[in-house]
Amino acid sequence: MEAILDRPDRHQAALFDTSWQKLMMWIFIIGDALLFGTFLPCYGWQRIAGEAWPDRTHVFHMNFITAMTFTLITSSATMATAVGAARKGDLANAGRFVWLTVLGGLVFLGCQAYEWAGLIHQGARMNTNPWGPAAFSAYFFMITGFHGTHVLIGVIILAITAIRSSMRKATAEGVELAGLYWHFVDLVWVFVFGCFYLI
Amino acid sequence: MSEAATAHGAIGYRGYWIAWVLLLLLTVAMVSITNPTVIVAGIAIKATIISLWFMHLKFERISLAVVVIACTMLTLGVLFALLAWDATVLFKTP
Repeated sequence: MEAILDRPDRHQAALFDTSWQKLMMWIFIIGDALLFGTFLPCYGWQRIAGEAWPDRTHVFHMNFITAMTFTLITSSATMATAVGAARKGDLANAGRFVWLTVLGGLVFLGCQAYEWAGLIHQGARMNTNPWGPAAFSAYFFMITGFHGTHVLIGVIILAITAIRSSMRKATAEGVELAGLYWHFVDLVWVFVFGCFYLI
Repeated sequence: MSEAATAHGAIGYRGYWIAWVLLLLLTVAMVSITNPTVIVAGIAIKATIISLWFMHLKFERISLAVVVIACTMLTLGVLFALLAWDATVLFKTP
């Protein structure tokens, strides 16, 4: 038993050739993907079966939403760069790029808060809205709210990672795990943006 | 460092920023298109770029990539198919 524990690769799962921490993160991501994966088919069901859906161009400012999407995609690229730097042992640079990612996340959250405030000001609520079926605003607030909560959690995780990087306490794997979560948040937005704002 | 990590280290930063440009271009293209089928295709391409390059699935062992993709796609595929059938058949039949 001790011989097994002393093996340098004891932390690796043989089938996947990766650390247990990363494997757990992937399992979490699959679970979270299924959570969002139940929202979007239900939303699609409502679109097909329910009353006529409002024209998205009358409700949303598409240039503004596209800018939000640009921000999130850019933050994903800075996070990937941070992971690359951490892998090369350059924790100072990794920390800088993680801070840039945090900034991107905060800008995205600020834009989302602004968008929500605008819609609420126009009379949108969870159970009613001025544009059409009540389900429209219910799904909008629920799905974008869940995603925004994920972004907020990601910003907190990344801020902790950046602070640890600047103190030289972070590990390359720690930065990579935080990055995996952040890319997942970006991945979910690809579906939310496409299904809710474009179709 | 595992083999996958070594392979990942070889990507360099350029690959990430090429992926970034591709994602931005796809976003612009999707915003200017109204055909839902093309938009769904755009979503699929963007999701593939993010998961393969940014999330490094391309550089992980194939077993991990298969489990991640199969678990999510199969479950979501079944859910989408059943709900779409339910919505179209039950609610659109006169």
